[in-house]
Amino acid sequence: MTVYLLDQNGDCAQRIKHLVSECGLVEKVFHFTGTESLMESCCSQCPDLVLIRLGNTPFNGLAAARKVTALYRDLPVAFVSRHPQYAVQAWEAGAAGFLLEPLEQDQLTRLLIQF
Amino acid sequence: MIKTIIVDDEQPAIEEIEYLLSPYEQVKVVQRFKDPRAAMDFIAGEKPDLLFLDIDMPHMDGIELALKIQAMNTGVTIVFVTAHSQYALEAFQAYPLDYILKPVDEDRFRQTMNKVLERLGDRRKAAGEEQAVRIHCFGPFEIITGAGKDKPVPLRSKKMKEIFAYLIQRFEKPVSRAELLERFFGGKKDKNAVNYLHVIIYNLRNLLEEHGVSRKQVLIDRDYSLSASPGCCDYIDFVRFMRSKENVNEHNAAYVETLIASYRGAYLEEEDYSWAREEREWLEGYYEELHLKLARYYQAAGLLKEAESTLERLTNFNILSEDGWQALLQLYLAEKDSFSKTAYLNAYERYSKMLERELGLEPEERFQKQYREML
Repeated sequence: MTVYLLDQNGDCAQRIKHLVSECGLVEKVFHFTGTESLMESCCSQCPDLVLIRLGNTPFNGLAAARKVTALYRDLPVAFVSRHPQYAVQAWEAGAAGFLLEPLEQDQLTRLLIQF
Repeated sequence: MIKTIIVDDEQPAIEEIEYLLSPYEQVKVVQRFKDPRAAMDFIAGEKPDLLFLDIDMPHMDGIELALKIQAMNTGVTIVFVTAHSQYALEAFQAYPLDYILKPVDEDRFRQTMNKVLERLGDRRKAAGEEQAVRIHCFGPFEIITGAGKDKPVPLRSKKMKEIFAYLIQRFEKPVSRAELLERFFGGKKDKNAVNYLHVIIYNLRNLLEEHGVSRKQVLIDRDYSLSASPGCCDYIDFVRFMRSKENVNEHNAAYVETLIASYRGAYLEEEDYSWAREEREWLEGYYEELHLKLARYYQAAGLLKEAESTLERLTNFNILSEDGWQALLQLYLAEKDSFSKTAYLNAYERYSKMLERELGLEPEERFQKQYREML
């Protein structure tokens, strides 16, 4: 399975990439820092899941999720965030999952196993 | 009809959802519950399609009820409707379709209902009524049912799609759970993986049933063995014929033509399944062999034009098919009285050019000799 990770913070992205790779369900994880490049890549090689990290200002990430789900209706999008208060907005953006940081291997596996 | 129930301990909240649902004719609210415990018994027995579920209720909260319902594998689609935003994170654990806040905004409700109808709307029309079904494994992998008016059944989850394709490839043979977990869940054997495998198989059976595919047509048994009636799956029909080791004869020639026609492209050609690669190559070889067998039958039966067009089709499919080219040349030579000399010369020249262009070779000496004699 292939996962696209959208995260503007390089250090966090590396940690998430590492955890995703560790769980043994994912063959490839690609990291993107911008929505446009992620959308372009979805067009050529559709991933199994898009994972978006919501930072202190979650609005870009939520907007990115809306763009992805509007264009690729069957493509599941899940969020990773330190901030549980964004969960309601995640539902509105059509999320298939929401993981709270710090991430644990088990919760990540439970999410990934669905796709 | 989408059988719907509403569970909320407050009557005005139930009425509000009913009001919001009133424009949706395909949705029928069959029961309302103020007590979640009573709702659970009803859901187990009646298996509704859709459930609007409050969270903060006495006796049992909505998330607990949702988890219990999911464990029962009823296939019901759940939408949480709550006045509290603090459950939004926890709600993800119960895999509902959506989570909306009270008072419910009409636009937001429309967004939810679009998702509901996308998931349930078309399926219910077909449920309970057997439809013609055709599973295409040659070319793009898809399930076409009569109900879909040529629109493929949506296999939304990639994992479900791949597991379904895998069970088809292993048709009529039991597939162990361990094998499926190893291949599709990275070898994980914990509760999550086993549960998820069950959910996938359960959803797959439901999806087929809801699109009018009966168990007589396609059955996924308890031991995960898949069987399909003749005419339901191009791959299974093709492999069954091959395994029967039947020769082509007057009784089955028309059927062999339909098998050949069903090969609309390579096996699972758009799917990058490592387990399907060997099968793909092998099927391609058998597809070519089937042409040769059919052409031999046509020639023996005196149906020479049919033999010629079968071999032409083979060389068009695989320009490198030496067997195809040689059989075509032999046909022209053996049936000189029926075919013109030009047909032979033309085929030889195309064959010879192909060999030179693709492989830098010349035809075998015996073919060159025949050609010189013909000139």
